[in-house]
Amino acid sequence: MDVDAEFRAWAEQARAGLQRTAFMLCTDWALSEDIAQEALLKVYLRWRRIRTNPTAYARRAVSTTFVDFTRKSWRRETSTEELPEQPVYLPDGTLAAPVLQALKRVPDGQRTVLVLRFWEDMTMPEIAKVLGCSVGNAKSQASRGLERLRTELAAMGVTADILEGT
Amino acid sequence: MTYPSPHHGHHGGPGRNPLADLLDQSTPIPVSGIDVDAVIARGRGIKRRRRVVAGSAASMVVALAVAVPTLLPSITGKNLEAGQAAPGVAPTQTVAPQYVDSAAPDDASAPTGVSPMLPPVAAPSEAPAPGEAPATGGVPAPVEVDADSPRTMADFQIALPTYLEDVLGPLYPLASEVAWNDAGDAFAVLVGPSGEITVTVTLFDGDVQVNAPGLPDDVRVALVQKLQSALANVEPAT
Repeated sequence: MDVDAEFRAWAEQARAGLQRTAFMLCTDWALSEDIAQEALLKVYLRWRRIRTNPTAYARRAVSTTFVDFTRKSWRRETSTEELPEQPVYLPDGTLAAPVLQALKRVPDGQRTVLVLRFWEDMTMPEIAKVLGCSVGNAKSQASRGLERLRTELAAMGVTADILEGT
Repeated sequence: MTYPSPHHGHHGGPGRNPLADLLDQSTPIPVSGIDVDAVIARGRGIKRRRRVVAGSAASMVVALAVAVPTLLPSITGKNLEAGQAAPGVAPTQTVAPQYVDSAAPDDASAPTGVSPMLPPVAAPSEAPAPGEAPATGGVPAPVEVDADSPRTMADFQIALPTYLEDVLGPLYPLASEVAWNDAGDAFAVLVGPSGEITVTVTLFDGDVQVNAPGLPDDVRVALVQKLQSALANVEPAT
């Protein structure tokens, strides 16, 4: 099987999962498609070197691509004292569940750490490497992110007990 | 609205941390609209562009090697053609002029304007096909440089036009090739909304500085970040 066919076979089955992770990071369906596409491109360009375990590299590529997106200054969010209501819609047009709504209201950096830690099962050193920060900083972001998530869920009337054990 | 748990592989399924389970139940498995063939087409284009960039660098070496001997007689008054060697160089050695000190052409102790260190350069038509080992003395075959992770400073320099184009290209198209001065600074001219903008990239101590009067600061910062990110992969010279 040639390289392109090999990549195509892998990408066809991996793209949905990668886009799902990207969606949790950015909570925007259209942007998640862009991020997943960029990640797939990075995988394609390194396919010969990573073909034995492309999925691990692809997950990392999704994370780093999202971080790149948030760092690009012309895409950076404008800080406001009160966050505007930004509902999260699913691809079928329905409103996302409260946990995703709450996650959307967690600041970018903290949300990224939460998704990488609790969804991607990355270790703190791995997260620190992706974000280019210290392990202590990543831990601190995770802690503040969880606290913020609890607060947001409580404001929506969802009991924060569901986060016990995280 | 909930969705069936899609988890398989590293996520482990129900029973892991509650947040992951919640996210799992709340997030649909998308019917992805990503066109894999489009990704492959883009990837092929990038690879081709990298090869062309590397090929251009080889062409510049050839052009210099052809141009300098032609100019040398008028500068030094010495004829280097037809086996006539420059002072200090054995007649049988193939020479490739590299450096001209026109200020002191007759001083035997000063640089003679000729360096025997460079290998002889073949005509461009003798270049081997990509992937083939170059014949001794021939033009190196275009080398694919991975612009995402250049390993050496030479790779970085070859990939520099790619970085400029990636960051600036969509907004400010490049109007020139990237040129280098003796100090190692790179120059490129962009087409801005109100005329041409000259970008100067200076490398120092493993870091990079971008000077581009007329370029919006956020774009300049984005370029610096891109270059720093690429430089981070460059192994320090030993």
